[in-house]
Amino acid sequence: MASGSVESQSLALDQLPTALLATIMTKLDISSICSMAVTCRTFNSCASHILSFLPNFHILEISPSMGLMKPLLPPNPYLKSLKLDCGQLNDSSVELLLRPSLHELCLHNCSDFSGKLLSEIGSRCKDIRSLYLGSVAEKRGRAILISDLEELLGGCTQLEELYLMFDLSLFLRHNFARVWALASEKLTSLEIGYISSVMVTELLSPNVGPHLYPNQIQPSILPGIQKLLLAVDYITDTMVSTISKGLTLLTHLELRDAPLIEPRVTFDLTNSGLQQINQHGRLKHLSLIRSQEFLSTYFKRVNDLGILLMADNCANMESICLGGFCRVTDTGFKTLLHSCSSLYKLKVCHGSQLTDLVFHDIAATSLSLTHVSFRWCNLLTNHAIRSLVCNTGLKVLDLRGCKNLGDEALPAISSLCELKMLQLDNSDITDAGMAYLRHGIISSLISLSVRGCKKLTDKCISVLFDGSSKLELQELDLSNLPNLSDNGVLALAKSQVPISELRLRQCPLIGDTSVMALASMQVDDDRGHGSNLRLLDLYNCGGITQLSFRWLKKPYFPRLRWLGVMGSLNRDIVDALARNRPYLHVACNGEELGTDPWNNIDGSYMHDYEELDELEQWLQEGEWESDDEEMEDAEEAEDVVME
Amino acid sequence: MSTVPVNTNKITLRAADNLDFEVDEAVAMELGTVKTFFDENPDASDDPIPLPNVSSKCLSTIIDYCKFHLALRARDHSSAVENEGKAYDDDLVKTLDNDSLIQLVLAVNYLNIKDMLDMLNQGVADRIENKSVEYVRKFFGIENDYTPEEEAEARAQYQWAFEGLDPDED
Repeated sequence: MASGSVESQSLALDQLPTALLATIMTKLDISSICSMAVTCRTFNSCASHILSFLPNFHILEISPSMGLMKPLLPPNPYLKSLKLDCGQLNDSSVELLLRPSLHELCLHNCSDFSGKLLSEIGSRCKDIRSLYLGSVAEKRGRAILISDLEELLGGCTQLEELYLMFDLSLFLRHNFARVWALASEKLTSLEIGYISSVMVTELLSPNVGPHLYPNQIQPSILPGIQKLLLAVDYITDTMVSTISKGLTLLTHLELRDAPLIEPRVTFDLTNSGLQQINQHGRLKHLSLIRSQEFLSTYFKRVNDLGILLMADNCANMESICLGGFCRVTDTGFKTLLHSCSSLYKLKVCHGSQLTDLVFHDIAATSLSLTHVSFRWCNLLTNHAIRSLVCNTGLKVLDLRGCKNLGDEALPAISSLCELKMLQLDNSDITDAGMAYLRHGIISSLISLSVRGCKKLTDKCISVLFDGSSKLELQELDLSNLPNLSDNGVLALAKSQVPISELRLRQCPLIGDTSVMALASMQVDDDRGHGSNLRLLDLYNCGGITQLSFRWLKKPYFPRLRWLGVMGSLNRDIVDALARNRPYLHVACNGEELGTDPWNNIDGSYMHDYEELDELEQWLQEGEWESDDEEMEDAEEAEDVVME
Repeated sequence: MSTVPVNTNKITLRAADNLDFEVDEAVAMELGTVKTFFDENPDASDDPIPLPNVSSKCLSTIIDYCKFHLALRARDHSSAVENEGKAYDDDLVKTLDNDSLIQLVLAVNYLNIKDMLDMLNQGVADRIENKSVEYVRKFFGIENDYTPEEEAEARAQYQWAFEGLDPDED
């Protein structure tokens, strides 16, 4: 590293003027700034100084306590953007966090706050443009009053984007519309965590009732909204029609519902509802998803006719997501492809009647799709994929649950040189098929999932990664692979692929050796052992014992922030790990790790649990034998790895 | 004698090791320090301008950068051109090892070239982001001037930021 040329000298810190150091430090995130403060006194005073004019303050990976936060947030008139995980904070932090200079505020996990948070934002952060509030007052005994919402909306007159990611259906309905009339006219983007469709309809309907003056024009509610994202109880015709009529500037509409009971005809989306969409002609992005979260249910009252009527209005659409439209056939989907010439994103979930014919003449359209998702479209075969890849600009290809896809689709997929994300969960591919990926796209892929592709064995790892140079791959999902063993993971560790997220859920043959192998993985950048992994999911892996926990402690896995394990494993050991690594999120109940709630909305991961019944049986059968053998194997492997 | 048009005035810059670089006036004016010098001394002779704090290696890189971006700006301000500029910058930073990068930052700071400095600062920031305390010390060649008690206190205070990135004490 030391250059041999004459003019180079080992650098003394006093050569770098403090002002220059400060400028460099302001480009770092807050955790790097704090890290630098520990290096020496000069940097420590630099860091303290910077904290008083830092424009962005983002800590989302851990939940800092008040004690940790206080010294990091001195008076700072330049603070514009604050993003925080508030899991350990409550109303007493309000004064520290809410600054009048803020333009952007994003607070996650606010369950210990009360509605006072909203009213305080309304009075202290009057200049705010973008506000995200997650899970406010969800803890027992906390409440949000309608007056809190009123003060928020009335106080923040510059608000442009508002994300209220909690349940608004608890509010008093008769006051609700009046309160929203106070919202800033600049509000263009609104997302609500949960609200009932009746409330939405009432909110956006022209006011009914006696008017004081006969010709009085009622001000419209939320006139400037361009983007609307709602999670509701039932998507109904009335709600869709009210939204489409009332919001004249709407460009982006995302609706998701999760019915608890089978919807009656008055409480459901039908063909006539679809016909109402995009009345003002501005809509570019549409997403209608019926989630299977509570009940296996679909948009049974929508068929091809509805889609045809909708497609008439939607020639300018750029992105369409349809989830749960089980009665729509090839005719409907094909019409969408042929009507929407600007379409770049198409997502269909539970398209149970979607077949290869949809893509039959896709090459004749001038479409350049970049994001394509067909989940649980059981009738799709390799043939469809071969036609689909004429869209050479594809970046995201999600084919989870398409059981009939196999090796023959892979040569076509590997021709997509822009592909960044590929998901082939539960398909019929084998090790031989993976070889095609190796020769095509493995060097540009960022995320790859082969969860539940039961035919894959250890061989697929070496086929994909042996001898591959400089891969971009960051996320890898090898869950639910009954034939994947420690040898596969050993091969992965040896290949030094710099993955940051690895999921090995419910792999019966994965055990302590894998954990050891991953812990000892060398990555060039930093010195010392320890892989790049930020997320490791070992939920329900058959061979994980207490031995693994020795390898999960510091200094191994230095960057790990998320860990999934089987909670029924000795509780004390798990607690000891949590104490050793206070900033590690440990999930013990099988919940999916990481932060992408929209991925799990249609409950498709619930299917894993159903299929798991046979797996669990298998595991229990195998449990009695070879406990000792496994320990011996583990010790042997430890010797090998330590060399 | 032939008359030289004003635009192609050449200016000579002398690096620390006495190597001379002849550049167009337009390029030289990109260097803030040189521009200030000429603003204050409009009748300056044609003698080479000494830059004792800049090595010839750095100066050569800097001159190439200024020439490239000057030509780029003369074309237009389309996004394609912007991407070209960004690609050039990324390639430049990629090839530099840590020491050379810091040397260049110092030189550009002395010569007061705003855009290049900002770009290089970002390059340094990217290299030290999320790195361990030891790594950062090595990167800047820092002596740890904390007493053991002070260091323990600092570490405890900021533990969350680098927890795990540093190996435990042996």
